[in-house]
Amino acid sequence: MDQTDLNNSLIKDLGLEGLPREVQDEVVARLGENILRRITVSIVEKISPEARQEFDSISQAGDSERMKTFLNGQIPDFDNFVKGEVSKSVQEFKELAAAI
Amino acid sequence: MFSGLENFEKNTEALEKEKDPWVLERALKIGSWYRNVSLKKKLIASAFLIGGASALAASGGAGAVMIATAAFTGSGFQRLLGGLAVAATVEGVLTKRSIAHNEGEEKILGIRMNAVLGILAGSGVILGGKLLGEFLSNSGERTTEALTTPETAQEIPAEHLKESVETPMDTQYTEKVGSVREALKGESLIKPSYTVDDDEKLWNILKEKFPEIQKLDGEGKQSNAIANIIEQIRKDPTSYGIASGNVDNLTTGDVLNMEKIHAILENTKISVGGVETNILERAEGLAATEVSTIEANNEKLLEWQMEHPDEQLTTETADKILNEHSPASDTESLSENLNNIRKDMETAEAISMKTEQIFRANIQTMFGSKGLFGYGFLGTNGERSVDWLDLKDRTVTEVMTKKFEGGVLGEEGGVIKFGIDSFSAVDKIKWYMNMLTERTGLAPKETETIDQFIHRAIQVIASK
Repeated sequence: MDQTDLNNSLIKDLGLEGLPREVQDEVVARLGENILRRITVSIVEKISPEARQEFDSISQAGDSERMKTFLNGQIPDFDNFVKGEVSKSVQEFKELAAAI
Repeated sequence: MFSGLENFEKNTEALEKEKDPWVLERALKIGSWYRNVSLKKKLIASAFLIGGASALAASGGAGAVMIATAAFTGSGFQRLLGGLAVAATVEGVLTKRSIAHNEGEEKILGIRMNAVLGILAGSGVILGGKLLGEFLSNSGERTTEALTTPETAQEIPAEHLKESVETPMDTQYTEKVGSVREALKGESLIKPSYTVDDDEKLWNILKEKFPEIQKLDGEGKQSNAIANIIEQIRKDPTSYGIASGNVDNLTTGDVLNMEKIHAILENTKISVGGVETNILERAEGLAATEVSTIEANNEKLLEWQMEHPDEQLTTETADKILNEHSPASDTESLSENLNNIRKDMETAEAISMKTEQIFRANIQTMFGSKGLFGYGFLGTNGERSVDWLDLKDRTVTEVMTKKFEGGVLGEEGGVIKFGIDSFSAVDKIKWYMNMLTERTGLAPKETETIDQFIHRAIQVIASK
């Protein structure tokens, strides 16, 4: 088993098997960017206007742990919320890919 | 597949556009950071992000949450991605997860993954010496050697697993953790310094190293921003690490203070019509006429450089060329514009950038998803497209003699084909090669590759 198998489960899950390696990489990388941006929008828009300054302040400080605590306070059941948003995006991608 | 992806990307963009500027700005910033990490890190981040939500997830979503949270902290995100790339341990865990045979194995591998994530995030969760040592011993670049982690749950005693997530075991382990943490510290968006290599130009270094510049739409705006940065550096070049004291003349081994240079983007205010703005805002706000004038002046300087290949284009020379060639420089109404344009063009580095841009622009037009200079958040970089990557190192003969059975439909039957097997990709490159041959009169050499011939032909065209 070599490191090229890093994304094997992901490739299979996304239905990218059989495509050239470069294509798989490009699709996964671009998909990752888009999902990250979508999660960002989903999370950030739930931050109350009063808390936006604090969000920026923590962001600039680069403190991931403090950010996690902050987001947990802003969004109920934060972990499941993120997981749900990712799932929705992945599902949408699969449907669009299948429709072509 | 790419059509589906492109539709997905369009939907992302549409989603963002609906949001208020504060939300949009943060989404774009994170997208920008992401795009500027290496492909390997992108793939690892994607595996955690997407894999965390898939049915095959090992972490129960922990990976997605960690990536998403770290993304909001900029440098924290960079450190996390750097750490993920350094620690092949994670890759090992993911790999093993993908081949786990039963629920027990999945659970153990999931615990391992969370433990490793914990280390990388500095959260205090610690993985024991034996397991971590095994994982880290597999770190490094791509290898075909088998990973040494146990294949089955039975090989990982429960008590060892418990111990492994709670107690550091030995010195070797501590050192390994230390090395991972050191690697994490070393990751940042902008490297603090950059050592100049042979014949490197300040212009190109700024363009390559600063994602904010790359994000600007088109050559004109990018030129304006780079020129304004160089104007600031010109005031005291040595303080930025340019030993010669001349921004046109970098010396091999100069160590540029990239943090200080990058701070120019954040701190420097320039006055436009009496209104103070920063460099990036100024570039973004350029009028279409200003952009086209800058690009036209780029062309003029390129022509001069082609006519004088052995001469260095200095600030003074560029000033002279633009004054001689621009009657409008005598008119008061355009004097402010021309001053800006001169700033943009007065370095020899602009020419070097322009020459390479001809090649990039053509490849982008043929194989990029957004056309000339249009790639950015949603596009495909033509040079990184699978079609170009497949075609560029093939001989001209192989590509030009390629025939497709059964007509012109290379992608019929729902099967997507790429590069040499794609009718549309081969058709495009054939057309382009014929155009180059016609314009230059050049004939491909017997073993010349597509990439080599295109570069040779462009050089001839640019020299005419």
